Amino acid sequence: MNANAIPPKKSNARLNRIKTASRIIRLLNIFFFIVGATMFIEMLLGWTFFFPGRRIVISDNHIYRLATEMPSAIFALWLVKNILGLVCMVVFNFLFRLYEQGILFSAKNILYLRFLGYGLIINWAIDYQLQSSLHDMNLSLTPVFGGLLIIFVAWIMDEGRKIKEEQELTV
Amino acid sequence: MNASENSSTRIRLHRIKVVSQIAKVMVGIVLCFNLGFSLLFARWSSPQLLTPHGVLMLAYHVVTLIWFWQWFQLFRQYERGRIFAADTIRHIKILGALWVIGWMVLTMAHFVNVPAPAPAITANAAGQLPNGSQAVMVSHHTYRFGFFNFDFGTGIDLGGLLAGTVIVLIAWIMDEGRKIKEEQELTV
Repeated sequence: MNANAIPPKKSNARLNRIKTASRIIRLLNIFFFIVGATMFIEMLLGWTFFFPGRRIVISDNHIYRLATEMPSAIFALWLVKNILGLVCMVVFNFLFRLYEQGILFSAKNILYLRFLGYGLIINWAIDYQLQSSLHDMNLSLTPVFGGLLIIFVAWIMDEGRKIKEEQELTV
Repeated sequence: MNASENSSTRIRLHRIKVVSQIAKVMVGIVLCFNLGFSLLFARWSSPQLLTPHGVLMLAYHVVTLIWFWQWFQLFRQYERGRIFAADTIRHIKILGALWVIGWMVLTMAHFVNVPAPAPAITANAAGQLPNGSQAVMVSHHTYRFGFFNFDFGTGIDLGGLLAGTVIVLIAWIMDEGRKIKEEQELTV
């Protein structure tokens, strides 16, 4: 029985599984990115080519037909929120590209995770600003907790990674 | 050299322990507050609780309580210094799954609660319109887009579903990574 030969095979199977799942997620993310970016550009330029009859929801009672109908301050915040959403999707894609490459616990993975946590909190802060300036507030605190917890878990993972690195040096 | 590295490891572990302890206490307080609030103030005998919406909201409440309990357990694992242990990753997986379940329950509750009365039909039925005129219902797709917050015209925020699925997926990747490391350590 060659016991040592079994684990690498198993490890390869595991890595392949991770790579396949990450590729699927990445492709889905790219699809959502394209749909989101198309909608955003259509709303921005007032086109109705792909999504006719749609509305932009800022809050429960403030729904706009076109981005240009918004007051300038609301428009600016909406613009930032959408660009942030797209940037976060790009970072999300980077994270899953690392997983696809078999890099699971590197400093970059943690950096991207942390970025996504901050993204969630900033997104919520923009929503808060948007809705409070319209005096039409209906927000849940869940994204803030989610963001804080992602940042926390990323920090713990980072510390764990550094400890492992130090222990590998201390042979 | 080795001593300084060991001490820095110890400092890191101590830092994790302290922060996890604080987080654990905070989550524990929120959990106790939620549990106490629901036990003291919920109208258990209310007939509204027996409606589908009431049952779904109760289910959502239970999911939230289990969610906080899982966070408590996760921080306890971190406090013990078990950062990449199987149990720790299992808690993260359960948290993601609970997120998805909560999203499903809330979405169902939303559709049960809002039976969507067509204004045109109700206005016609009530005879509120002048003779010769007829109300017409016009529906529009709404667009909501942000990071983990989008509906793409479906009226359902799909971000919650995606967030939960991603948490489960990342936890699964971490678990696979942990197993690979363990197997590599065995193959020396």
